[in-house]
Amino acid sequence: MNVYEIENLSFRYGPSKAGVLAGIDLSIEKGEFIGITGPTGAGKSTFLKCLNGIIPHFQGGILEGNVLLNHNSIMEKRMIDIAHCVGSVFDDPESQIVSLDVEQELVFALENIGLDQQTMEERVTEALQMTGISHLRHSKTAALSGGQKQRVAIAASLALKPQVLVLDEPTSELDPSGTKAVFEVLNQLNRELGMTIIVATQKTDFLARYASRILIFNQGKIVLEGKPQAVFAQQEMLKCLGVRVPQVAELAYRLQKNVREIPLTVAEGLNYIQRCL
Amino acid sequence: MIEYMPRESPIHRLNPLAKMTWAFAVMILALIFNQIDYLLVILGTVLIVAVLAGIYREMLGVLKGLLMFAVFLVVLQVLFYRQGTVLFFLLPLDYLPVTREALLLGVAMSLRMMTVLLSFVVFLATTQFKDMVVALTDKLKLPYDYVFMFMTALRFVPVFLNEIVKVREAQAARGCQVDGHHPIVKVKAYTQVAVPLVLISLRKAEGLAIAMETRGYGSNQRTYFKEQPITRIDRVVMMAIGLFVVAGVIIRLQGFGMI
Repeated sequence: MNVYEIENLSFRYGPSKAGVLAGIDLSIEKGEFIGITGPTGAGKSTFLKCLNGIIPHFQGGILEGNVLLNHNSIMEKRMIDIAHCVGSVFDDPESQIVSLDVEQELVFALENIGLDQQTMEERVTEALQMTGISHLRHSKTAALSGGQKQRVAIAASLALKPQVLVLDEPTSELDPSGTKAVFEVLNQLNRELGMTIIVATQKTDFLARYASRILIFNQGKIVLEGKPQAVFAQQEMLKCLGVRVPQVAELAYRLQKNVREIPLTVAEGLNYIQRCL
Repeated sequence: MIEYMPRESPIHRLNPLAKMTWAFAVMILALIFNQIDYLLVILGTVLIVAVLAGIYREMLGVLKGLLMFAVFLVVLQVLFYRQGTVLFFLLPLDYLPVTREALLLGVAMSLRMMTVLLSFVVFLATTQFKDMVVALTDKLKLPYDYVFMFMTALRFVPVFLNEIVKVREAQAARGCQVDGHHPIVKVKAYTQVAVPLVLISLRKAEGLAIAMETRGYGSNQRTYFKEQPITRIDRVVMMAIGLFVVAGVIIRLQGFGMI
């Protein structure tokens, strides 16, 4: 079943502005873990904004083509209906946190949609457990580390029980351990709940490990698409675009150029080297 | 910054509305009287509430801080209020007379200021902000938008303090003079920090608005996770406060409590 169907999507921020997205066709199936990467200004963020309805409901512009969410056009849905299906997490941990303490932050969305208290309690407990931050329930949001803040942001979107989680550079301001914690949570949500995850990031090492499909954006188009093993084998092209290649993949590529499936994790790499020898 | 001080006390358990009523009642009473003994009684009641709330020590600290402003108020009255019986002169040759009335009025003004401020500090120190939000919107029926705006302003204070430090450092690293003793240098330095800060806040505001949109803000069917029930004790307290205010007004109309 397809969660998203994107048909010939083009977008410009204004009549005199250059096109940010130029004819994107894509279907996303339920349960996929999609990793989006590409040089800055390639249109990744704009694309994600089209997925969670910020474009056209919050930010204006000229939009052509169509985005179907569960077979309904996103243009015709209200923002609150989209919010029920799609959870969004953004890059700046500061400005997306609304409340003074963690519990308040999680119930914010639930209060907005008018749930009763018992359902709220259940959803909050569940969302905190899924993100592994139950111990932070009564903390002040200002006192959290970056990684913890991002997990609170993820938990806050999970409380609405979305089908899809859309994350725009969720780890750009995090250190490696914070990044790892965030990706572990995403992986778990994807594996255990079959939640569709769509994440844009420059940290390709993590995408290589967790994503089921990689999209490389350049100049508003998807220029490369496929399984991580296949995409990261195209290293000449990725280097031209300025996309960072996972370290293991780069090492394997230098050892032997023409392989169809390139190793991505250390374990795969060790295996690969043994085969080469 | 005045912060919530968690304690187990009857004052903490009161509904935020009851405490707010109390703070406003103290303000009304302190404003209608200007005789020192009356004001001392009101200040005394505020301190008793602080004792009941278990935050007596912190409040004494606040009072000590306010004392400086109190002295300033007295000095102002002494310098500018010239009527009444002259007690002594500040300078030789009968310059700057100090009158009895000026002294009394100055002390009354400072007591008034201390009483009103302290009552609000006690209110804020014994009430969690989220409880106040619920009480204001759910019980007092204030529009949630405004209450939310106020809460967000509070939430962003530490964020912006942090940003100020960052911008100052960034500007200093580029050779801008962000510090100085000369007033003109200082004003210039402020603009160099203020302009980037305004731009940063606009960006943060947009981010916040987007985050709110994606989490169903403004759907007009809001519920509350923790309600703030008004108990019988709250009602009794609010009624008692109301009676005190009425009694105060009557006493004042009889002509008591004024210099």
